[in-house]
Amino acid sequence: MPLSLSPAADMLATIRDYLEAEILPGLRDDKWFNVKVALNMLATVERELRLGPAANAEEASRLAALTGSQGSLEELNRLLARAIRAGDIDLADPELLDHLRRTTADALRINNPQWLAR
Amino acid sequence: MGEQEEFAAKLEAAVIRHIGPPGGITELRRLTGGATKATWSFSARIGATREPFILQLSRPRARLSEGDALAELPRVVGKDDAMMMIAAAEAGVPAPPVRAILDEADGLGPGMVMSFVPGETIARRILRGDEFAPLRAGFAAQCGEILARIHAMNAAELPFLQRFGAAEQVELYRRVYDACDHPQPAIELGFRWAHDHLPDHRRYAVLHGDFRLGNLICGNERIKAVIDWEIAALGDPLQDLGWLCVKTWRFGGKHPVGGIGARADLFAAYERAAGISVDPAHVRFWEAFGSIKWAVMCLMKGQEHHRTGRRSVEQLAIGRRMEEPLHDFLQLLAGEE
Repeated sequence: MPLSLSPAADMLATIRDYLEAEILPGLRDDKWFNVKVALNMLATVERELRLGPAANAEEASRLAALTGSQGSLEELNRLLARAIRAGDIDLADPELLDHLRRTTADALRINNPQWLAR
Repeated sequence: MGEQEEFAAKLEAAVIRHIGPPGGITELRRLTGGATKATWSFSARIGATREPFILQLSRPRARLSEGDALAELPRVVGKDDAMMMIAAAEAGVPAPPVRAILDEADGLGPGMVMSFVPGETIARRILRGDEFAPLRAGFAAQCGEILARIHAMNAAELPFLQRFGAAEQVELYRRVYDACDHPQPAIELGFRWAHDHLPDHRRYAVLHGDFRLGNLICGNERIKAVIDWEIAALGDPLQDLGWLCVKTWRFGGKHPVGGIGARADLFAAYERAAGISVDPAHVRFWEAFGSIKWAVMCLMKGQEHHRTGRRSVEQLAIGRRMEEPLHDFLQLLAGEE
């Protein structure tokens, strides 16, 4: 795709600002709630556009080290999940725990950054 | 007649039939429209007085394929849900008075009409509002007392309740997770941990299953009603105590019991009322496994539209909450809080 304007993140932010300022105040009950949730979702997508690529690359390289394999994120996660279930990897392995904590924290930075501040 | 008017007319007929004339429904407002049920508030004239009510309709569960683990999760709906609340009220549990159990003739689907119980359910307000300071002071102890009453309910009168102890839950939630076919190493770790730390419980008591802020109508001083009995089951009573302490259900509050109170107060009140001693490590299992369960539920919600064909903003958003409990579980595992 050519570098079309406007950038996706700007479009999302603009939609979000408009809904928040012009639409939300006129709603109540379940409509208010659902639009409020939708606004949060738009913010999540914005953060994913910004932070997702680096987080995915780092997760993939950690997974490759842990599993000793190459493949897509999905394939590598499947391999690691299987190894944990089969008992092929020690649950107390610091490298495993470090990987899980980093992966979870990176996802939270996109999905709900406030959770990490708790 | 528009859809809305038709709905209101059916509701009015149901109110007249079950509760009394003349009806005259006003202020019909949809409060929530969840995937499994929807709730409305309205007021109706009964005799000479105008009374506020709550209507709750269960939605049919999405059609599931044969052997689908989801179909085995406890779900108390419609008439059973109403029976559950009636039995709870009789056992001294604060619960909304059930005024009508809807039947086929009402044409509204399975559901019930309850008296409106004034109070607050929004956790944020209960946690922070000055007016709720007296409630917060006694919250953990009151939860202990209420849970003891729920656990003492007579299971023989509630034949629809499913047996769902610790081992059954770990096994079934693992199958639900497997059915999602979305491998998550952190969830796998959680299941292995749960399997290795399974508590040995002999008692199968009546459980609420989702006892936490959001499902408690709170007055300024006391919990006024326990609602949302949809996943009630028979299981390890300490599950309800652990679930109440799961970090997700603290809603940002600093203290372990619902974000509000101390574990010691919850346990002491429960021990006094139930006459049994509480092993904190046993409750801790349910707190940790509660996070894994909630992570699986988030995963399920995030995929639900694939099953039902109905997309909802709320459900998709819940899908994105999966890492919250996983983060909490990993912290718990590391001995952090």
